[in-house]
Parts: sequence; structure tokens; C-alpha cells
Amino acid sequence: MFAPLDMAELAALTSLPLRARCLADAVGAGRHRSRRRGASVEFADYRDYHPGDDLRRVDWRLLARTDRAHLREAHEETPMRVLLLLDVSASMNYASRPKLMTKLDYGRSALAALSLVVRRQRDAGGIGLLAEELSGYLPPSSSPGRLRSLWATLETPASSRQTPLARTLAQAADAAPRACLFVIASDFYEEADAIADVIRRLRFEGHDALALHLADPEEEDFTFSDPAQFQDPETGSEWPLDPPAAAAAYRAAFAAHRVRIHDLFLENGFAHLSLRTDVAPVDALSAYLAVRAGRS
Amino acid sequence: MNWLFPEFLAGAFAVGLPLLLHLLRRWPRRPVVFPSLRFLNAGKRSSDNLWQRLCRWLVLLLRCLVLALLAAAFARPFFENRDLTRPNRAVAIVVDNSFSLQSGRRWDDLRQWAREKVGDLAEGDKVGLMLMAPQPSWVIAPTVDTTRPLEALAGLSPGWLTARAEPALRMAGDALAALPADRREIILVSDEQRLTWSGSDFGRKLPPGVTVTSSPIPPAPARQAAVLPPILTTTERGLRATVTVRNFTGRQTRTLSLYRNDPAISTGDATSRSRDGDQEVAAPFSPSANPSPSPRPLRVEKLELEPQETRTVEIDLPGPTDHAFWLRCRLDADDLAADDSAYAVWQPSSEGPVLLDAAAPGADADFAGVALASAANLPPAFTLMAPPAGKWPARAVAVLRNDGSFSGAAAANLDAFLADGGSALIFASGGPAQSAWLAVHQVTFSPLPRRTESWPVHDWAMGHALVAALSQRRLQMLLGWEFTQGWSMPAQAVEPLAHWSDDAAAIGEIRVGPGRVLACGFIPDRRAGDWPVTPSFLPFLHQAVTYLFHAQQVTAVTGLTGQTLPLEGPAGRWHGVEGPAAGVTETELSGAVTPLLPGIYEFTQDKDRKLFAVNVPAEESDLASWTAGTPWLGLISAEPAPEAKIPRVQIAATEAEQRAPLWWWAVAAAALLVLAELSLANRTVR
Repeated sequence: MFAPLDMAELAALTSLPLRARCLADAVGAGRHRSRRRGASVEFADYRDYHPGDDLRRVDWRLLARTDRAHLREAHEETPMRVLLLLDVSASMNYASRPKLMTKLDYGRSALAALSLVVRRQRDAGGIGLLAEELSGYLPPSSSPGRLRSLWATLETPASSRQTPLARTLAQAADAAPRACLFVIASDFYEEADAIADVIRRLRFEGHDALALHLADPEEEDFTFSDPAQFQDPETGSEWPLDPPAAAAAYRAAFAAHRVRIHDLFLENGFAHLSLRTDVAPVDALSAYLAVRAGRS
Repeated sequence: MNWLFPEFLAGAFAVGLPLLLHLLRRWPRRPVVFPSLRFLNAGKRSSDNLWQRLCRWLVLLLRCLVLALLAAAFARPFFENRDLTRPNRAVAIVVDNSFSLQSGRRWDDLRQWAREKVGDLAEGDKVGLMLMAPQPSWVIAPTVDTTRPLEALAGLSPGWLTARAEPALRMAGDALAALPADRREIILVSDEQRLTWSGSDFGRKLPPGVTVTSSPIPPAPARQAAVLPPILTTTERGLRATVTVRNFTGRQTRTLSLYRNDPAISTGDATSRSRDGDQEVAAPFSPSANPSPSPRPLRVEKLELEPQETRTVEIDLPGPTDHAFWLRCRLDADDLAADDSAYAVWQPSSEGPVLLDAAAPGADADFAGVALASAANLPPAFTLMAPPAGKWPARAVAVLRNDGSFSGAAAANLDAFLADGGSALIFASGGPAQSAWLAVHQVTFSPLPRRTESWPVHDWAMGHALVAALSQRRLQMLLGWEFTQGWSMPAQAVEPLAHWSDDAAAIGEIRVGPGRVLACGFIPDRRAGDWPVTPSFLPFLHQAVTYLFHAQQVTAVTGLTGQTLPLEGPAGRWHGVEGPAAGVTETELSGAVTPLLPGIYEFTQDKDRKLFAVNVPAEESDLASWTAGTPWLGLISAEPAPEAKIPRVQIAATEAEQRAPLWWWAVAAAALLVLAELSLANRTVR
């Protein structure tokens, strides 16, 4: 059971590492145990000796008692390569209420907490910012200093007017080593068909993916009541709008887009998680751990 | 459509304000950054669709209409009344509410006639409703609302008074003359009694232009007689009631019953003697006409009355005459029941006896007996006698000083005497019977402690009537009251007149039911001091007896309905006792009263009780109609009505606007449109 997190308190924390530790502690994530067995200190099972097996792993005490040779097996710990990708487009820099985090801050917090969990799992962590081009890329590494590099990259103020998500994801796929876990934090304001190719490519190249689909509560609920001049921060276009008249169609279109993105990831065997910025992103960490456990 | 204040229509130019705002403020300027506009339908992105445009124009129209309606409301619109060309009428309905209208169906028929007259009035006519009695007064002042006089007319009923037409007609005529109207008319609702016009000054005319229309004369009654208030006189045999019955129609046989409110009197033992024949008639018993409180009539007599005859009947009344009571004479019902009952009150003219018991054993002399015998000839005169062995007379004062008067049959007689309203002056005897009797009445006699010097009586209650009467003679009367032996009463248990000390009363007044007792804590002889031979002894006894006689006195007053009766003294409680007056509930009054219902009334002040016999005016019983033409024509002025410049259009416009207040509907419509505007404005971008 996770400890409940107050989003207002979380948003009030200006230090990204502090936010990350709060989130990671809330999940209680630590080192995991691999399902692969090998030479290690933690006993897993016995099996019969076969010629060619390493004689150092024979349990001599058991051989003395039973006159049969058995090998002693233990859990083997394997590192995972995790590539954290953060969408830094202008649409991510939005919060509908003063006490809410923007989607960008929310994504930063979630990925920073994930990087801490990755570090605690002794996995290899890398990062990339999805702007007009892939930027700030750091390949996965389990070196002790990588965590600070990841947090420093996340804290770099970066924004652009619009992100061509398909292209920047392809650039990340080009740069990533084999069998990585792509953790993508984005609002996915891109047509599903446009990113379908790159998602399929990730699957073909043996990668795994976890989509953190971020949305502000107002984007999801669309409860505006007063007519106003609405501005798109990415395109800069403005429209006079009567929100009550447009609300129903908007909500339907928003939900349909989310379903298409969700289906796209699931069809390719990946995980997709919808997150609201007024709810703590502990589900993201749990989802990562679940994916991690499935790959071990 | 007309306008009372058309200048307010200029306010309609205010509709230019929303129009201007509509044209200037085309789009909302408040920017809202929202990143996911891509999900908005292209057709829904802009608010400039057909529905929005329609809503905006509708909102604009509503705003303009609201302003226009408010301007119209202030301008007070009204529809032009076609009746403006018709002459206006001012009508006063003058209603005769004397008790002669109670006869038969006179009241219902005349009221229906009046209703029809009011129904003939048109819109804009003014009508008022006036009553003649007890004095002319408007029930409804002239108004254009004809429903109000009709409603008031439905709630009216004839009273018990007599009425004269002339004062009411003059008052109504003067009021009509002051009204702006083309025709002024008095509708007289009356039974046209001859009496109604008696004393009228036909030489003095009503204001010019005022006409009178009178109701039709009702049919004459078939059977009508009245009984006049009985006159009570004393005879050698007791009391005699002289009753006069007047017959206003043809030969008829009537039954006269006499009731008395004295339960001690057995019924049927009166004798009567008709003046037109000296025969004694036995009184038949009639259980069907039993008014409260006497269960049976004291006397019932059949009278054969000749046409227009006035018969006088003398009835000897049995029973004691030493206390006040009232009588009711009643005829059986005829066409006019209001005058079939008459009331009288008997008040004895002289004081009762003083009952003095024997002097206490051991007394050196009967000082009290000598003093009272001396005072018997002073006003109020009384006779001095010993208390009888049987029932004591109610209107008497007992002076008791012997312990034997408080035990056995004497004590029972004393209790009955006080229960009948008697009064007693008690001197201390020091005996056990007197102490026991006083203890029963919550008063204890405690002997004063023995001491060498005597006990003075002091601290007199100067506000008490008895003490005040004594001190008015000479203040020295209250000095020199010293006793070597005495008994005290707790000051809180009696109304103290004088004290031995602060909490010990020497003389106190006690109420025993309706009776009154003055208790003195000393003996009236020289065993305890020289008070019986001081100058204050005889005056005290005389004033005490006088005071106790006065406490029993009942004052009787007679009067007529509508007559103002003086109520002397402080405020008291006034209520009806018998007859129609029995419905008059108790009220506190002072100064004077004008009873409107006949019957017996009682007015109770602190220690006084007055009975009032109020009868209907006898002259109103004659229902004969006026026969010498139409009397009101003599009041109508032959002069033409003065030419008055009546601002007809202005007045008519105001009245028309008041009758149909369209401004209220305009305000209501504006309020509804404001609500619609608020609802629609929230759905549009401007």
C-alpha cells in the first residue's frame, strides 16, 4: 500500500531530486530480484549435475550425504537499460490552476523518481529530451554519477513550439543500444498513425516501452464556462470559443485520441499509462516495476 | 393606449446603450491559453455559428425590450376608457339601521333593493355607505370600488336604536357636494317611518344638485305591540310593578310575562290588577318562556288588546324589597320582537337595620347600644334591633361583641348573613368561640402582652374610607385610643385600618365571601380603658355602620339604547347580564358608556356595584309610515347645481390607470425578460 501523496505539497517542492525521492519513497521501490538464476549468494534451487557443468558449483556436502552430485543454483541479478524520454514541447508547459504542476514539471518529477528507482535497482539509466530534435541525449549507464546527470538534464529548461514526436522518437531509437526500456513522458499531441511506425520499430528492435500519457485535469474535463479567446501555445492560433457549446465534442475527441494511443502501445506489447497532473505519479513507478519484473 | 406621464417615454432612448455596447464589443478579449485546441471540432471552434449569432441578437433584443418596458412602466400606460364621455355619478347609500327594520323581512328586502341600486352604477362612479344611528357615520367613504360597499352592506344588521333621516341626509349631501361629479344622488334605505322624519327642518335644503331616491315603503305589520319599561313603586303590601303595553295594530291577544332575578322568590305568587277592571287574575305558569336566571316567570297574563290601545297593568311583587334586583317584562313574539321586552332595576331607598347583640358579660354598661341608639336618627337612618333567631335580613349591619354570637346557631346565622352580602362590626370578646370563628376565616386574635402602661392605637390608614371620614370631622378623633387590654391581628391577614405595632393590626377589614367584616382588637366598654367615654367613640360607631351600609349599596340606573350614561368614580368593569346585552363581554371603562343593546348591565368598581336597565326607545315601536307624500322632496333644493370645472380627463385618466395598473405588468414582464437575458447571456460569447 502506497502512502498518499499531496500533489499541492509535491508541487511546492522546487528541488527535483527531493520530489524524486518523495515519489520513490512513496512507492517503496528498491532492488529487485531477477528471475534468471546463476552464480550468486542467494540460493534458488538444486539440479542434477550434467557433464560440462562447473565443478565449483557442485554441493559437496550433499554429495557426501547422498552420493549423488547436485549443483547449487542461486538468483542472478541482471541490469536493465532504461531510456527516459521527456516531451518538452510548448503544449507540455501548461497548468490549468496555479497550484497544479505543469505537465512538463509533472513529467520531470515522474522521470526523476524513475531514475532514482532505476539507480536503486542498479539498472542502467539514460535520457533524451524530445524537442524539435532529440536533445540532451545520454545513453543508459549504471555508473554512480549517471543519476546526477539524468536529474541535471531533466532540470534543463527546454521548450520548443512544437515537437514532431515521431521523428524525435526515431532519433532516440537510432541512438539507443539494444533491448532498452523506453519510458516516454508526453501528452502525445501527435496523430496515432504518425507515431505508429516508430512504435512498431521499437518492438522489432527488441525494445520495451512504457508510455506515460500526461494530461491536465482541465484538458480532460474541459469545464470552462465563460466565452473567451482561446490560444494554442504551439501554433499560436486564436479562436473565440463558447466552451459549453464545444465541450461535448471536445471531450469525445480527446478521449478517442487517448484510446488510439493506448491501443497503439498495447498492440505492440507495450504499456500505456494515463496520468493526470492532479494525481501523484506513483502509478508510473509501479508500472515501471511491473515492466521490470516481466523482463527479468 | 394612453400614457399618464408620457415624458418618461424618453427613457426608451436608453435602448441605444445596449446597441452601442453590442456594436463596440464584438469579441471577448480575455485570452485563455489552452494546448489541446486540436481536439475541437472546426465547426465548434468559433462561436460565430448560427446559434450563437441568433442568441446574441436575441440577448440584444431582450435588453432593448427590458429598457423599453421600464420606460413604459414609468410612463404609466392605460387604455382609453369609453365611459369617459358618460357623466360621473357620486352616490351615498344612507341606511336606516333603527330597530324598526327588524320587523318581518323589512331589512332583507331593503338591503336587496340597495344592492340592486349599487349594481346599476357604472365604472368610475363613486359610492359610499352611511349609517343613520347612533349618529350619522360613514361605513365606507365614497370610493370607485363598488364591491366594498356591497361587502359592507352584506355584513350589516339593524341595531336597537332609533334613527332620524335628516342629519344623515345633510351629512351625505354635504359630502357629495364636495365630490367632483356630474350627478350626486342619495339612496335612502329606510322603512319610511313617520318617526324618521320627525323634527326635520324642511325649510333648509340640501346642497343644490343633490337628489334623493328612497326605497319602497314596506307593508304595514299585521301584529305589533310593545311593552314599556315597568315602573316600580312601594305599597303597603310590598312592591308593585306598573307595566304599560301599547298596541299599534288591530285587536290582538298577547301574553305578558314578568321575570325577576331573585332565586329566593317562588314563582306564581304575584297578583295582578288590570286598571281597566279591578279583577284579580291568577298567574298561569308558562314553562315555554323562561329567560335566565329566573327559571320561571313570576307572572304571566293574557291581554286582550283593542286596536291602538294602551293598556296599563299593575302587578304586586312578592318577596323582600330590601335589596336590589332587576325585572324583565316580556310579550310573546310579534312582527317586531325588538320591543317585546323591557327591563327595570329595583333599588331599596332606605338602609336596613343594625343588629346589635347583647353586651359582653362583665361589662359595666352597654356603651355601644347607647351610642348606636343615639346615632340611629342621624343619616343614614337605621333601626336598632337584636339579631333575630332565624335568618338575618340581608341589608343590615351586625355589631357583635359577645362571644355567644360566634357559636352554635348564631354563628351559622352570621355565616349565612355574610354569604348574602351582609356586613358586620366585630369587637374583641376574648372568648374562645370568637377566636375559633375568626381562625376559620384565616384571622387569628392574639392577646397583647400585659404591661403597666396602656396600648395606644396609632398608625391609621388615612386612605381608607372609614378613617378618612373620621379624620374629616376632626383629626382629634384618631387620638386618645388607649387600652390596657387588647388583641392583635396579623397585618398581612387583614386590610389594616390602625395598628398596635408595626405588624399587629388593631382594626382590620376582612372579606368573607361577598360580605365585609370590620374587626376591632379591643372591647367596647371601660374594662380596658376609657375609650367608650371619649369623643371618638360615637363617631367611630356611626361612621363604621355608615361605611358598612355603603359597602352593600347597589346603585340602579335606567337608560335607553344609544344614550350616553355617566360612570362616576374610578374605572370599573362593565358587562352585560340579561337580554341582548348578555353578549357584551366584560371591559374596563370609566367616564361614560353608550350601550347599543337593551338589557341589564352591571358596572363594578372597587367596592360599588351599579345595575343599569337599558331599554329600546319606545317611540321607535310605532311602525306607521309617512303618509303625507314624499318627505325628502322637501329637502331637495330647487337651485341648479353650480357649474364646477371638473378636470374630467385628468381625473378619469388617473382612475383608469389605477383600475388597470398596466405598469405593474410592464415591470413584471421586464423582470421576466431580465431573467431570460441572464440565462441566454451566459451561453453567448457576448
